[in-house]
Amino acid sequence: MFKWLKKKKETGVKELPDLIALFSESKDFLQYEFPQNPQPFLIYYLKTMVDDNTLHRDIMPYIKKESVQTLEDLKAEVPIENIIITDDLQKINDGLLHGSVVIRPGKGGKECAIIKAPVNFTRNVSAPEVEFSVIGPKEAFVESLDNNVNLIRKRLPVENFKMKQIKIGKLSKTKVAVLYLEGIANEENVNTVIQRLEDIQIDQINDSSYLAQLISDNANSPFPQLIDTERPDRVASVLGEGKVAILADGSPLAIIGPTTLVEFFSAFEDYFLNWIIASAFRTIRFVAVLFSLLITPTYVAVLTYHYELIPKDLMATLISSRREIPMPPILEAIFLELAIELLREAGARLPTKVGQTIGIVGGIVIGTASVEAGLTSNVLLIFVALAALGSFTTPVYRMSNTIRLIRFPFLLFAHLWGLLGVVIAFCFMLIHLLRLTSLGRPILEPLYPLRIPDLKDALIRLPFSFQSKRPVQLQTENTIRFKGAQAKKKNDFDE
Amino acid sequence: MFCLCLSLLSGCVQQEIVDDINLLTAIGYDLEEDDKVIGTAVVPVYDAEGKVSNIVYEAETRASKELRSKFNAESPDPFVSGKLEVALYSKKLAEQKGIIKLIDALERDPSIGSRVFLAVAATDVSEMIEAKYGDIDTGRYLSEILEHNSDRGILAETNFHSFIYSYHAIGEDPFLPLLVLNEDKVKIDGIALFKKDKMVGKLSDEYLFTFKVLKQKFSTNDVFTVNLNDDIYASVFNIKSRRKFSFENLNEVPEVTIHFSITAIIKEYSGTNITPAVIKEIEARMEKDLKKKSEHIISKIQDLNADTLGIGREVRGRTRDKWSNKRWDELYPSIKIKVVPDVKIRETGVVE
Repeated sequence: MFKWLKKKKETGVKELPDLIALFSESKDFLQYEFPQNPQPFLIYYLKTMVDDNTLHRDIMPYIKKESVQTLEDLKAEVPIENIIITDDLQKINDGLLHGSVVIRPGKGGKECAIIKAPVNFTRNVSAPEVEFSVIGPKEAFVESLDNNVNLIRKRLPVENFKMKQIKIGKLSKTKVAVLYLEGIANEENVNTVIQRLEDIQIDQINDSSYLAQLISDNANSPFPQLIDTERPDRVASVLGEGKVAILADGSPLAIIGPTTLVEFFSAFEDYFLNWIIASAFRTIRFVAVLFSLLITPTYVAVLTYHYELIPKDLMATLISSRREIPMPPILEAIFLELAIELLREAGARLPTKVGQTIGIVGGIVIGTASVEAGLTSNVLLIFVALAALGSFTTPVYRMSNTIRLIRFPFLLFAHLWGLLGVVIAFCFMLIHLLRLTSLGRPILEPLYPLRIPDLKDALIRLPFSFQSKRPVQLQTENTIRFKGAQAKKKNDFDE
Repeated sequence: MFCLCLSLLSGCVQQEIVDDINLLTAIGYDLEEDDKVIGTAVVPVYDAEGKVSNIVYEAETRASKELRSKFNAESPDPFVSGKLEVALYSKKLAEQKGIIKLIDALERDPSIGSRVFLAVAATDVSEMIEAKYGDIDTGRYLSEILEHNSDRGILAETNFHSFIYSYHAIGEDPFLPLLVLNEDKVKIDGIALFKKDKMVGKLSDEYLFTFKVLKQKFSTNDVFTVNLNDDIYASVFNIKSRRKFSFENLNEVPEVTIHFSITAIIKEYSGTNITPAVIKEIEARMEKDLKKKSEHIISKIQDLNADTLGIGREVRGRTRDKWSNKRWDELYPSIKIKVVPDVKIRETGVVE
């Protein structure tokens, strides 16, 4: 009894041959011997992890050289830096797994040379797809961490750009980088991020969104608390503001925080456009989101309880569109909302070309057919379509999902208690948002707590000459970005 | 716990789904013999193509709300009154019984807005409600006639709120527009003058404009025609009017002067040239005309002892605690009310 409780006997790898034997079970593990040498070498590597060019150009010729007799000779000859000579099995193990070539003198001896020759299959830097902008840089992160850090560092050539690296995941051993500008970012924010990352207990990190979920303040909130972005320019910009960025190897998304709710509604393109245009677009986005959230619940509430509120000119349109419909407004609305969600989900899961077809089938056929069949009213069809459109104006994809989801409780409240219910639901949402924090900083800032200086880049975006101070919310160590007073002046003439 | 409350309490709210109710848009009251009131209500029915037909319900009652249960008994959907646009009262009812008891029901119902129109029907009420006015719901048709005329036309501002306000105000009596059914159209035929809630007299439609000038400040796009002599006349429009009271001898027998200043633009002139002299003449004619009509209106309301212009309210505002209702009732018919008109022509239009 309780045998299963006892620790399994360690099948520990004590000696190098054990390790080799373990690896040999994989088909892509290769081992060669070079007997023609007076001092023959044994060479081990994982074929799938090693770059053939490096191996044959920079390693093989030197091994075959007469003069190379010992590992020390090899280290001196091979034109690759950081050759480690060690007998540490753990290091040898790691080296093999990360694409190093392990060379061992044939006549025994525990020491091995670990020569790095990893192969990197990465795609090229391409244009951002999720956060596309008409104007502005057309580069997006790729899956390689070094590549991504390079993209950011190119935009911030300063020595206080710091990168801390942590490995997370028992199986995946993902390299996670924390980036910040020392002397600008608040130490507390950096420490919070690093501490939370270090505390993570998980086997695999396959994308940075795993991290975003694991380190967010309230994992049970439908609202995202950290922004993920695929734009290096955006990351560079927020690092300059004093935020902290997290990158994970193998993920084309950077996570940035602490953030605010309004930041989820600001597209990075806002900074490429003139401040008037950008503010107008941002306002439109806010209106669209509120509209998208409230229009169907309001429709249900008004048609179910508050017929008095319908303007007399709209009465005929509304009533005649609902005349033949057997369902109460709530079922009608849920039916249409679900139809839209189905379309979205189907479109997202299918390849692009089929997705388009689904869009047409859904939009035109289902929409018109359900109106003609008398299942839904065409007024509601317009509202639902507009609401869906409104939710897609949110620049951060995560937020648009949230907005579409929380519409359903609103609908339910609207059906149960009319407009009063909508107000109650709104209050619940507001209370939740008031309690929500992003890396310990209130997410509703600058609206609540009111931080007037931060309103310069919230609901509207004021010109750059107004943006001379870093956001108060971040409690940065150096609050001044540049001298605002001088930025306003334009010296066209030499005096 | 919260979800439990939510599901339990939701049963307490009465659903009124918009296509499952009868929206009453106009209601009319008429007086029958032996003091019975006949209520006529109209409900628009919208079909799927957006066409409107009107269904009329009729019932006898004493209490206004009792009508609803009688209407309900013969209707497929329940009646609701939140979309009421117009309430009509027959002249007979307004003159003999007074209308405040019927208005009380409207006043107490929170779903009825204060911008509902009230009017007195000089012709048969039920005929007016039953008549077909084309592809439009009857209540909306009636309310729109009153709405645009009181917003921009020659009808002095009137609605449920202003009626109730002047009814309850001390030193003021309400008035209502007077409607007549003329074949298949409804026309504003004048003003029904009230003493408290009883109609005591009427002003015919030629006095509508002058009454509005006396009653309130306004601007209108309606046209006022001035006859200079038999075949020369001028039409003025874009009229802006301002009215002011001034009082003398407030504490004894007040003497009231009503100043009004009007600016306008000439729109049409049948003579040849408009010279400054002609403008002077048009102004003088208009002043004279307005003065004559004003004096007629004032003598009429004084005769009826109906303070439609709210002069008592103005006096009370200026005398404060020396005011006495009883004394004013006795004084009002005999006080001196002078009218001082001032007309200015601002432009003569674009010609040449």
